[in-house]
Amino acid sequence: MKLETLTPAQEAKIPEIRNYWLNYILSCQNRLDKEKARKGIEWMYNYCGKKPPIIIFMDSPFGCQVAANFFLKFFENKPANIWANIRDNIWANIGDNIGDNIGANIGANIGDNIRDNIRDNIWANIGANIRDNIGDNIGDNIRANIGDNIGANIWANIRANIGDNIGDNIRANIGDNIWANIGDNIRDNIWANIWANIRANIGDNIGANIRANIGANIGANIGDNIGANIRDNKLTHYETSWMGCVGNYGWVAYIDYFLQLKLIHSDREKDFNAFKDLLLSGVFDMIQFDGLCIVSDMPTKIVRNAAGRLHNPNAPSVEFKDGWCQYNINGRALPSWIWEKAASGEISKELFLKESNSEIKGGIYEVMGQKRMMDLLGAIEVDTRTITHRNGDLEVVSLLKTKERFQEIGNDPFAWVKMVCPSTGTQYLQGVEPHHTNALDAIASLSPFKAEEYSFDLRS
Amino acid sequence: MQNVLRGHQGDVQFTEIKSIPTGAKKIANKPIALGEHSGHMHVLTGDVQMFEIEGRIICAVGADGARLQHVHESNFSEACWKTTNEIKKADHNSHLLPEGNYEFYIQNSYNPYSRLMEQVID
Repeated sequence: MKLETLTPAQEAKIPEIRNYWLNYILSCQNRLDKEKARKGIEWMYNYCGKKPPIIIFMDSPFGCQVAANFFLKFFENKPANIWANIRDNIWANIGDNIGDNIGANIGANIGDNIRDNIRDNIWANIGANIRDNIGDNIGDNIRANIGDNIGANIWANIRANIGDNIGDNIRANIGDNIWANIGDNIRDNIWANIWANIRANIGDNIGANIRANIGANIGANIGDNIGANIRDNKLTHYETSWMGCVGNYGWVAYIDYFLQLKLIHSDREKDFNAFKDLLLSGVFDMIQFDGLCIVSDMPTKIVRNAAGRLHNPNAPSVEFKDGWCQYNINGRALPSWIWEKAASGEISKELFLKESNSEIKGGIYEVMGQKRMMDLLGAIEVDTRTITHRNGDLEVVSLLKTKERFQEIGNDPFAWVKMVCPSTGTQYLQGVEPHHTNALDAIASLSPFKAEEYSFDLRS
Repeated sequence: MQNVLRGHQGDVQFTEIKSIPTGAKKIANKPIALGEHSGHMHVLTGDVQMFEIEGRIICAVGADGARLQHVHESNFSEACWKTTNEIKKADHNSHLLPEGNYEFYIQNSYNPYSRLMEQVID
């Protein structure tokens, strides 16, 4: 018989489990536990019929892409002795079995293979078990409150957003010199860090032997050589994982609810817990090749708006330990120059007017703030009213508009209402719809009150 | 309702309402608004119970009254919820609300790019 109702204690577990998974990433307090991750990845590859991969740990998803290029692209068609030397030393240090599996080169991206295995053997199997044993009303309730909620928050708003942005960033650079495109900041702050990370990980993985061989053979030149070679090459974007990333929190939390509360029993519970342990090792994402797995640590900072979208008008909305970061306004990934130029006072009226991309213009509007935009565009006062509040206070409010009209906002002017905080005396500007001609109507339109009701007993 | 109490504290506005709307769900008291970057919050402390319905923020203030305060989160602790004692203010002065039912709103700002009203969160 299916379970059709939940006890109050079982209901109370819904937000607890949902918040546990959301906070696991959103708190930015969890870092990659390499040993735990290594154990989980080896389990996952084995589960999918693959031999354990070489595992490279990086600080960011962008670092993973650079590392993937380093391993797969740089050595492609390069003097055989470099790749052969490294490969032979890796194999010698971590065992012939992996060497045999990988062969002469790192194998194909096996993300789809891992996805299918985990999906068919764990998710589909336990999902069917839940449908068999739990009533639709409870299943729907838990799915909406845990699975879909987390899915929407983490997959749609964070993981996919970051993944798309990296993809766009890298795709946009194909065909060009990446060094010039990514810029000095990347070169100085990120590449140096990532290169150090790669060196640290090669050291971790293959030990003193490879350090001695590579170090002695290639020496300090390798850094310059690799840098120069990558500078001359195009960066390729490699597909990241379907399974083994923060995007899995939704369905894992959904199943976790039923298993934790022992509402179902499954012969796949051990497998599920092994996969869950992998996610709880602080893995953000990974690129899964046959024989090589490149893993990203969690972000060190995430800033979202009330709707849960990545958003920060003042600074990056997501940051990783190696310095790679992403800028967003209301979930839209935008170029960092908006923030940099706004901070250095380089956004001029000409630059704003010349910009043809309306998303970028919207980003400039948000990052600059209402006061600076009003100053930039030269708004003029079109109406002023004095409100007599019910407590006797007098408040002067003004309606301001730009002289010019702007095609990207419907061939209207920008419009603001100016008010004064009675506690601090600070002037505030809030955007209003451009059709207003009366400052009182304009300020009331920002509240639930009609203009004739816009009078307060208490103000601060 | 004529002559109902109406107030304004920074981006938060409120008005007295006749009764708690039918179907409103009692929730654990929480800040009425949290600043995204400033660490400031608008919070109602004292003899108060919060309710939610369709995203609306409703509060029932009991006979001992409640205080609307604008504070930095670092100055706020669990013990602050039950008292109308003033906490160190962030920007805006506090208001003591008498017994009654109130609905709170967060001021909007028009975004010309999305062509939508968006809540202001300082």
